[in-house]
Amino acid sequence: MRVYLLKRLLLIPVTLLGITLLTFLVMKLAPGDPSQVLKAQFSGGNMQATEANKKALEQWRKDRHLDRPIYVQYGYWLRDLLRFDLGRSFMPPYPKVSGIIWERMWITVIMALIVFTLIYTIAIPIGIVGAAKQFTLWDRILTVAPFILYSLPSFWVGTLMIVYLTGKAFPTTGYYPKSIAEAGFGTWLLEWVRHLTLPIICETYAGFAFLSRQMRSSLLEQIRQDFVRTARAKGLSERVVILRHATRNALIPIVTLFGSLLPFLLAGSIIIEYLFSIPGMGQLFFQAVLERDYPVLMGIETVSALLTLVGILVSDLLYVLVNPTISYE
Amino acid sequence: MSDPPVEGKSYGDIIVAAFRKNRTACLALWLSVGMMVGAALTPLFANDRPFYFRGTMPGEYRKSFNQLTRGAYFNILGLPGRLRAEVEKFEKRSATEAEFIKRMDDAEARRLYPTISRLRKRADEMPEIRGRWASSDEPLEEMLSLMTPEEKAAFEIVIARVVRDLRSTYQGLLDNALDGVSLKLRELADQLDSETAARTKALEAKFRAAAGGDYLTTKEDRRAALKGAVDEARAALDPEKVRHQAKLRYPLFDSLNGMDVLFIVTTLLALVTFGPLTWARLKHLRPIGRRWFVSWALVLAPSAAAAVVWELAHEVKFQSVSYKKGTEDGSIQMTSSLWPPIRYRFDEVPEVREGVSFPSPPDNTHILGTDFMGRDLLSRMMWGSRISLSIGFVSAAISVFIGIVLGSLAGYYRGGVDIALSRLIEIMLCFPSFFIILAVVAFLPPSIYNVMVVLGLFGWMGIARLERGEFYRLIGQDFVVAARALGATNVRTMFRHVLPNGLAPVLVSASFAVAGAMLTESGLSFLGFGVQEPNTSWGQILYTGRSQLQHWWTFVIPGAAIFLAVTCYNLVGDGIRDAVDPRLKT
Repeated sequence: MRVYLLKRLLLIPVTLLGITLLTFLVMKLAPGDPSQVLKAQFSGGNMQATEANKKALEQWRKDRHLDRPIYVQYGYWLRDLLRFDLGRSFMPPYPKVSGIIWERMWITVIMALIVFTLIYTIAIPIGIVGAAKQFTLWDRILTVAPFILYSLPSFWVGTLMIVYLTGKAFPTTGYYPKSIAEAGFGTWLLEWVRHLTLPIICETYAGFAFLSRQMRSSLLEQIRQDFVRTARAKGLSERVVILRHATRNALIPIVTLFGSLLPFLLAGSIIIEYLFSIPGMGQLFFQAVLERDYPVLMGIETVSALLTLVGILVSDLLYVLVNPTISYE
Repeated sequence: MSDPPVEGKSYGDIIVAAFRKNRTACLALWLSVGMMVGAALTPLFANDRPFYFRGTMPGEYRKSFNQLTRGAYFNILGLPGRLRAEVEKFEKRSATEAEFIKRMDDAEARRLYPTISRLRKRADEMPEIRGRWASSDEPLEEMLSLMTPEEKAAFEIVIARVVRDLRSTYQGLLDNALDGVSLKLRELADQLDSETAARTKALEAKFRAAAGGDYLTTKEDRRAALKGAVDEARAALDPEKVRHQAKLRYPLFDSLNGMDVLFIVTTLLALVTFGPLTWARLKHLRPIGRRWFVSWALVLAPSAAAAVVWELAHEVKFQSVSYKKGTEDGSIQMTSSLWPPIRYRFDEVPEVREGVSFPSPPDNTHILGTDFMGRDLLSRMMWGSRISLSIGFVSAAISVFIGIVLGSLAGYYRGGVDIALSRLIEIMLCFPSFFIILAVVAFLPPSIYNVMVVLGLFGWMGIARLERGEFYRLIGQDFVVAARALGATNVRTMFRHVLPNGLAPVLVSASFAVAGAMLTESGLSFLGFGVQEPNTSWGQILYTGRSQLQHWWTFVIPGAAIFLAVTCYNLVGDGIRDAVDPRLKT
């Protein structure tokens, strides 16, 4: 177990290195660079590139090592990363990237956690019913309905929600800006729930199709096992057989899916946060893309890759914990 | 696969039989096939011009005539003069700083820049020279005397480059203008009796001769020659005197390009050949079509040939004519005509009229309403489906190709190759791929091909994993050992023996990949990246409709279409999965 854990932990930096290198290359090899955007900024709006502006731009590029070859730039970036420094944004007032990501990350992470909880609490019962009542109408409905939900584009559903559901009950934005101290706890909580309901629904509904399907097939596999037949032969009720005996075992592979859901949720956050103007990481990324703010883009990629890797690690560990028959020696 | 082998039935037959039992999946398959057919045949369904009409186009004739005798003539005549003026400006004055800034990407310009800017600085220190530098068109003798040899050389290089660029630009403009003349002449000839039409050929040669030669020097001769050509055209083709020939014309077919022809012919041929073949196979009449690639070749080869021939031989005429307006105001007179069912093109913007505001809701003329510019939404949806579906298919094809190749390599060679490729797959799986796709698509110049390639490059991991697993499963089996014993090469064993047996799960993934790519593409378009106006895709229609939330049809319809298509492909994939792996069902 310890060896396995060590191996996995050692693999994280390697994978992270691969991801950041690939991201860096992709971004740098794409045509154009931020100094095109900045030209306007340096010349104070008029596009005349005067001598002074040009000098300032040169100096600016030099300070950020943009005049060096790509591998040197990556080296600098990596060096800074090892000092836990993600650099500064290209955009005034040039805030620290780690600072803005930290500022924006928590709401994305909180939403992801809520969505995770919801997905699991909805998907597992659906999967169980589907497997227990296989070939019935219930099964068909419970397999096809999530499937259809999975195919619903979230930006469309979000738009429809904004048009038809917002107003009295729900506001059009997904973020409540006041703090507890300002609003008082009761109103604060209520407002948070009101603001976040629609975005959370939007992010949740697609996820549980995948999960309930996995749950169903996992449970079906268990139901065919000998121990289930034994349990039935003992005369236990079907309810006990399914819920006590089969489901427990069927849950094991579901746990591991935790890791692979994370990238899916982070990707979804871009569109949802854009749609409901939630100042989270996805919105930050979208802005940074428009401004070609490389340090911010790299920072977000790194952070979300790290989150994903940790998620996968945790789900691997949970897998061992919940399943005593497996040991990673 | 746990089923015992059945006599006389191939693996494919068994899968098809299992798939057919799933009614939802069959319906979804038919729907998606229908969508593809509709997308391919869109130019025939939704277009702003008739399939054919018989009649004359006097208004168009007059327009072409005017364009020829006025526009084209002045275009050609004006060009050399404009070029000459530009060149002289640069020769007399200096290369301006603006020129350099325009060329800062150019290595040579960057090398010369310090020299020229030094010169400029020195000139700035002498007020009287600076004033004349800024305003005069005269050559600056003082300037030249001030220059060091190095500066003079730099100066010469820059001016030579500017002049060369100008010349090639103007040559291009001149060629365009001449092509315009030829086109107008052909359009005119097309409406005349053969005798007059023959005369336009000679006229075209005359125009070309008049425009040729060194157009920086012989100015007056050209003017005279051109004038002669135009006068002759005036005399021969006068709209008041010529007799218009009523003709059968095919405007809709004329407007197709090679790609359209490829799609249309492929679809029609596929419908004609595969329809009966599939039916025969489903009815177990004959096990035809086992060599499916032969039948595909039989469909694709003629359509590709047709597309190439079309592209080479087809002459573009009357491209900008508005047939609908023409019939209304009498400039086109039709005695008989056949119009497509939807008389709007995706980029057809109606004229602004009093009391009409857009977007207008669905009614009898616009079945699905219009968008904010008044363009017919149904037509846009149909044309958009071409892009949405082709992005889905092409990027899925790229993913499948990469996935199959890498997965096969990893599964076949194992060892170091497998470890390296598996690591790559794992890295790519942890990739926050939508983030990077968004970044890349935003950074690259907007084009659907970029979207296709980027989506394809970030979607192959699941397929590679599957294929690797299939290879692991199959490689120990007897038929592989037998193939190797017979001396088959690695490549042959991999792709002729193992791969065909491991394709079924990939089919499942491919179907999901199409759905996923369509979803991602519409997501990108929804954020404003992807297809650019006036071209359109479903996601792009949704993007433009999003800003008019009070008009439901502008965003409900495209979203519903995306939803329907994605559901169909997902259901088909699901159906294939159940058919391939019956263990999941029982």
